[in-house]
Amino acid sequence: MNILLIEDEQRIADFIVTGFESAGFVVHHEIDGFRGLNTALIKNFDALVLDVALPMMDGFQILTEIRRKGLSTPVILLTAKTDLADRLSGFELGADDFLVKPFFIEELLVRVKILIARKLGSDASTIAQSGITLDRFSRVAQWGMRSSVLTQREYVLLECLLLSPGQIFSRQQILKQVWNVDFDPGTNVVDVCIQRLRKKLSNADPNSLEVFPIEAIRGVGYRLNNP
Amino acid sequence: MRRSFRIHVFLAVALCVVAFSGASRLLVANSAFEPLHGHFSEVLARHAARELQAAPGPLNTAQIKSYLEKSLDDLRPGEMLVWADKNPAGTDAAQALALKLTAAAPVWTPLDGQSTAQPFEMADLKADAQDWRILRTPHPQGQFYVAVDKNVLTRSAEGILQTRDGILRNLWPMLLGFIVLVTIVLTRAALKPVQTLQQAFATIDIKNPSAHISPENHYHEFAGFIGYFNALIDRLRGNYALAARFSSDAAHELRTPLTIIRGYLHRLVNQAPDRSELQIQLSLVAEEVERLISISNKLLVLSQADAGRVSLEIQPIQLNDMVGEMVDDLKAQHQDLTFSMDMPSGITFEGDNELIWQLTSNLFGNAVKYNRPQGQVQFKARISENKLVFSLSNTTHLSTSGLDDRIFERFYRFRETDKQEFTQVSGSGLGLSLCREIVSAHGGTLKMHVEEESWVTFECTLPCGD
Repeated sequence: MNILLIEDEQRIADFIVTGFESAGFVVHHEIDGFRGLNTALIKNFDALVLDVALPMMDGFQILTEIRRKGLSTPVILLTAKTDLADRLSGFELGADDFLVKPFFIEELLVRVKILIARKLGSDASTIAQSGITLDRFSRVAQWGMRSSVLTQREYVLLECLLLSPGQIFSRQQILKQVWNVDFDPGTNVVDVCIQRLRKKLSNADPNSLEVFPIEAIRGVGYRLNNP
Repeated sequence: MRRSFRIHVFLAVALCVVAFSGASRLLVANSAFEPLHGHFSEVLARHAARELQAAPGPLNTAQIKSYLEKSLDDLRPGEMLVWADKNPAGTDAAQALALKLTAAAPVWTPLDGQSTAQPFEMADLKADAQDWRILRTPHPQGQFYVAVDKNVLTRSAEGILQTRDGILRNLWPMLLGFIVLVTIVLTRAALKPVQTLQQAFATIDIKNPSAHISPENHYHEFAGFIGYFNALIDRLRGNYALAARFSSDAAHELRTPLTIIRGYLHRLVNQAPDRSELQIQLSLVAEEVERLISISNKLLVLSQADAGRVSLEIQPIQLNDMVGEMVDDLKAQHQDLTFSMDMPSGITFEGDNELIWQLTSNLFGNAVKYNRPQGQVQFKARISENKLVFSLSNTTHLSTSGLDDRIFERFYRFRETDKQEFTQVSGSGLGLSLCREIVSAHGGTLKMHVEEESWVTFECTLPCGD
């Protein structure tokens, strides 16, 4: 998978690049809008990660230009502003998704993967990882012989874990991505939700040898283990 | 006490009336009121002219005198003399005065306000300790003279003033009414342009950088004042823009390093051996970074609120769903607490989903966090008069004395005693002030009541379409 990252802040870029590379992506990085647009038009990419505030040309201008040239590459915008107007104008110009700084690199990865999958079309309706399959439309999850319809929360949580296998998600990270809540030490909804998932999908037979792939790491968070 | 413009005007008008009447009395008392003497001379001349015309033919000075005497009040004997040149039938005193007049040969001045048919002239003469005002007019039988002691004129003027004083004494309520009326008219007239200006001030659009008060539409005396106001509002707008830019800048500047720190921390957590001491410590640091991000996010919303520009993403919110979900989550976590809900089904209102979520979850979070073991949490909601009112009450282990509105202040932490350390209370101290800003950004109010038996209630009122 080929990703073009246009981001002027070198430190953020470094950290996004290593994040993507460790997930198996090839990342091309440009530090200003002008060069970024050039590269986007010359080479083929599976997705574009575009910072809004850039020297020479801002993210919106690049986006407009790319869409004007008829490129339908998925574009995800990164912004420091939470203004609705900003987000709306991004979508109007043809952005596929939006992420507000500070973001989790895992979330960015998940979103980029979803965008690419959606673009490719074919297999986008189900995600399969570590023995768990998840149907995007019916929200039915299956593990081994057990399958169950998930609630919205459970679905988002499982999707998030499935798209980043082997990554540890802290409780706050899950709270932010699934419940969209800022840090709140007073609640353990995450643990409750994971327990519900486990209950819904685990084999009722206690002697089953299979180990549920979602692992709790005490004091740290949760992880979907790679098989 | 607040000063009143109306009372000041009233006092000023009353003072003017008193000063005018006092001054006129003083002038008359000093006989320095020459115009009044002139006025009575004219009145006398008019009467004399009428008598002369009414009785043509031979002059009967005695008869005319008796008529003229009636036209003056309080006339004493010897204070009026009437004679004519060719009719020396006047009294001895009149003849004596006529001689003195001829001897003195005073300057005659024409009297104003007389008919041209009977022109009068007047002159003053001092004779035998008496101060005379003499009038004369031509007549077929020589000049016709009327002499009056000036004391009479002064007495007449005083008489008028006394009459006036009498009227004042008897009719002072009317005078007071008159003063009040003048006051009302004057204050109306004086305040009207000020009110117009006030209206212009009140309706000016603070968000439009080119909206100013135009001096052309107001009295030119206000130009300086309007200039100050426009300068002030420009400065205000400057600060406003500055504050808005600062919050956006601060957000940007903080977000970049925080994103990087968080990213690397998570990477380190993933790389550290599972369940190692290092991994747990790193995740604790990551938690603190989350706290920092959360504080900076809250400060961002608060600074936007200060600049008056919280951007709301208005959409219909199902309160039942939102609260129901929240209570279900909380019930699962806090099984010793009793939750009760009292609200009609299907409450929908317009608001920013994310902010309202933050509001309710903050309030519920506090209700649980500061509750006592086996405590209670009550949620009530109702819609009345286009308002959604919901309240959240909870029992608490804290002593509620000294708990007041200060808890809505930023970074304020409620401590039961002064010695209690801040570190014993978790949280940033921003949650409730954020709640209040969220509610007021939606045009509502958030209040706290402390009730007996350690119950604390937060009541939120939000405007609601239907």
